[in-house]
Amino acid sequence: MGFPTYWMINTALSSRQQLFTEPQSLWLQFTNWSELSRDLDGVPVVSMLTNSAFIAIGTTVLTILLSVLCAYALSRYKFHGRGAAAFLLFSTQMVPQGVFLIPIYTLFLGLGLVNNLWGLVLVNAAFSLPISTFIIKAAIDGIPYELEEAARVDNSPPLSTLTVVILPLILPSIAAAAVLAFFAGWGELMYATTFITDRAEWPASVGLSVLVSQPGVSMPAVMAVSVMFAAPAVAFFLFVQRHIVSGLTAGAVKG
Amino acid sequence: MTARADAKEPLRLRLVRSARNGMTPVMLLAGPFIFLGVMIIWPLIEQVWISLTDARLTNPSAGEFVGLQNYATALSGSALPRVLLNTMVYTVGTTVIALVIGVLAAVVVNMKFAGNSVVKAILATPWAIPSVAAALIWLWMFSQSRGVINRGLEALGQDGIAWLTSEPWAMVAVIAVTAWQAVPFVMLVTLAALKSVPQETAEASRIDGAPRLGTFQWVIWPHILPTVRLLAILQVIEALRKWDIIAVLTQGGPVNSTNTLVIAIQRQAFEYQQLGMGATYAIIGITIAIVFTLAYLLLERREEKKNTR
Repeated sequence: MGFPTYWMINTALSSRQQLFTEPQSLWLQFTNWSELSRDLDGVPVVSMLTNSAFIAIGTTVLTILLSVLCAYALSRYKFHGRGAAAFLLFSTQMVPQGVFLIPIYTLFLGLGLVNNLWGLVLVNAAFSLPISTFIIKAAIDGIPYELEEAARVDNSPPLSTLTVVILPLILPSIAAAAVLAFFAGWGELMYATTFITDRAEWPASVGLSVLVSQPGVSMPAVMAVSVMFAAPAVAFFLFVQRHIVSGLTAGAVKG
Repeated sequence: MTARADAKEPLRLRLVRSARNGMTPVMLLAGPFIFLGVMIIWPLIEQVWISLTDARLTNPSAGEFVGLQNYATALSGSALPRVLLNTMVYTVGTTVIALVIGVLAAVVVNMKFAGNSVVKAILATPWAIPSVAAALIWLWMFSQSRGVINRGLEALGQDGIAWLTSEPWAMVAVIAVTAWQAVPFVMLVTLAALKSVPQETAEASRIDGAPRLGTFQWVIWPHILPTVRLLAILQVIEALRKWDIIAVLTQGGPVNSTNTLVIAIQRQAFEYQQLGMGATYAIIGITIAIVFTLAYLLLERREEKKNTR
């Protein structure tokens, strides 16, 4: 399970000659920095990673904002059409995202959102919304009404009840939902590669897939960019791993 | 006075009332659902229309109405059955492998041993690696002449395999990579479920002389079964939508042997530029997804009834 990750780093640090004329060393080499930096020259690594970060952060913010509202309404109110609303969310979760590729493309053509990172933010947020809502709703379901009652004695409006009473209690679940949304935006390829043709707007996922398909590609360079692309996500993930699991399982795993 | 009387009333009731005369849930849901309406519902309707036209990528909204012709072509050709078969093999393959390895890994990591947390971190990492990067790592490892996997095979005296360019190995390869990325999630969630197994029960059964496997089978497994079932569903959904790994590794080839539904939709529309036909594939896919969802909900409901009886 750990070997491929090691091999990515190993390949990034190998020279092209080592890869193609002799068997790749099983141990890490640290002598090929100059060749690597030459191969990376002309690859817009910084702009690729910045674009990915833009998409990921935008997706996370929009998803969390909308899904907290959604989850609170579904958890705390009884109203006509609640079942229908929940079912609608559930079914968008079940349908593969790829099936919306064509109509969203034509929609974005009309709105001028093709070749626009904001378009990808909207797409990724739409697909992250259902799962995020379910995670947060499960967490709100677990909070006793009495807590809110206490806050409602002084007749504060519901939105402030939500932000003052509920939000601090469901932070682990919000973190879990946020990580899922962030990863969805950070690594997404299908919509990005179909919608973004402008080189300056490429996120890292698209840049990498184009880089590897070019003739005479340098595998160490591809792997080096992969490492830079993966490292922030892996670090982030290991850092918040505990919260992700406790947040995800707040409602799901009761046994 | 009235405020105090109000406060004694259960909040749920007050909320119901405020929902009846107020706007609150509507206000809360308006934003999210307008958003979903524009991004999901409207495109869905648009999609049905496109599937009934001969729209091409060059004239996306000016296709001519052709009725059910796309559907007739898709359903009578030999491409669609192959696509559906591929999708099924890929989905079942990745789900079964990810669940088996993920649950085993969770059981192992749940034991107490030195270095336990390092092993856990290493096992969990692939989940956080972006799919494109993961696919590229394996692309290099699967390389026929220079890849480390064939090197291993040759060291064992076997012939190297053209992993990504021959049947059925291309399918095996994409399933392996997808499962590699899915195992950590299964492991972490199963681990959380394992932690919630009451220690006394497990210990009691051990003291009663049950063998280790027996304890697992009779005490632990029933406890984590609901979690595993949920993971299976999540994994099926994930496999049905997976695009990037296959797109990077095989682009659906060789000879369509890894051409799953989502790959086929994208190729029809943006490679062959036939938006109408791509939309038709998508509608067929949505129909299948809905049938499975309903079947799942029905099963779930029946199961619940059985349990409450």
